[in-house]
Amino acid sequence: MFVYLLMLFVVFILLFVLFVFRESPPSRGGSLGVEGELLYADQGRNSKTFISKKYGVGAKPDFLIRLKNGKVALVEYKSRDNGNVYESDIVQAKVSALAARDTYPVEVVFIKTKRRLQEIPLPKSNDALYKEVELYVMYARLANKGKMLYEYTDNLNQCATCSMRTHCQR
Amino acid sequence: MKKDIVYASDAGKAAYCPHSLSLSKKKFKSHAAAVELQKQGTKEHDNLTDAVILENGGQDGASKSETQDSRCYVASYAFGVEHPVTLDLRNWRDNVLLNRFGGRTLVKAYYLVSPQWVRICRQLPVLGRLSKAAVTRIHSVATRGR
Repeated sequence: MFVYLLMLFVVFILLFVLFVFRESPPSRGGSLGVEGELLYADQGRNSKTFISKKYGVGAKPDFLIRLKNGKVALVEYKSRDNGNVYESDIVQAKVSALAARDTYPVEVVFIKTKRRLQEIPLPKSNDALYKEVELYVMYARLANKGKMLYEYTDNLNQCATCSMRTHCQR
Repeated sequence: MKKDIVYASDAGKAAYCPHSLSLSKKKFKSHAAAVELQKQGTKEHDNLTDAVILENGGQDGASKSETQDSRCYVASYAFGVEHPVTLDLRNWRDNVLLNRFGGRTLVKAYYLVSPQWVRICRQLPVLGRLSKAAVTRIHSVATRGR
C-alpha cells in the first residue's frame, strides 16, 4: 500500500513538472524520417491485420502516417545492412497499401532502410494497384496451396543471400 | 477465408524468388545465417517501432484500445527495451499491478505521463539519471522476495 501511495505521489509530481515544462509537440520526422501523425504501428501479435477481401490480400504494415499535407503514407522498414531497396520490398509495400486501403486511403509508400528513404507513389485506383502486384500475389497464392514453383529470380546475386539456397533446385 | 488471404510479406518473397517462397512454404529449413539475420532484423524493427511510438506520444491511433504488452517507457529509456530490469518491470506490471484496481490506475497514469517524461529526460540528462535511479529503486521493490 505504501509503495502505491509513494508511486502515486511521484506520478503527481511528474504531472506537475510536465505541466510546468509543457511544450509544443516535437517534430514527428524523428527516427522514421517521415513527418506526420502516427496512425498505426505494427507492434506484434496484438496489432490489427489489414485485409482486403476483394483482392484477397492482408498485411501488417510497419507504420501508417498521416502526412502534414493530409495524405496517408505507409512506411516499410528494411533493416538489411547494405541499405538497398529491392523490387520485392516495393511489391510488399504495395500489397500492404492495397490491404490497408479498406481502412485508410493510402496514397504513397515509403521504404526506409538504414541509408535511404525511398518514396513510391501509388496509383489512385485499387484495381490499377492490384494489377502492379497481381503476378506475385498469384505466385504466393499457389505457394500457400502447397504448389512447388519453378520460377526463379533473374538476379543471381540474390541467390547468395537466399535463406533457401541450400535447397534450391535451379 | 483466412486460408485464401495472401499476406504482403509472401507477395514480397514471391517477387524476390517464387521458387524460394515455395520451398519455405514446404517447410524447408532456412539457412542458419538467414535465421540469424532475421532475428537481428526483428530486433531492429522492434527498436524502431518503440522509438517511433515514443516520439508520437506513446500511442498510435489504431492500437490505443488494444492490449499492450511491450510498453515500459521510462525503463526502456533508462535501460533499454530488452534489458532484464525492463522485462522484470513488465512482468511486475502484468502479474501484480494489473491485477489490482490501484495498480491499474497507476499503470494508466504512468502511460499518460511517461512518454512526455522521456522527452524531457532526453533534453535534460540529469533527469534521465534521476529516472534511472528511481527505476532501479522501483525494480528492487518489485523484485523483493523473489
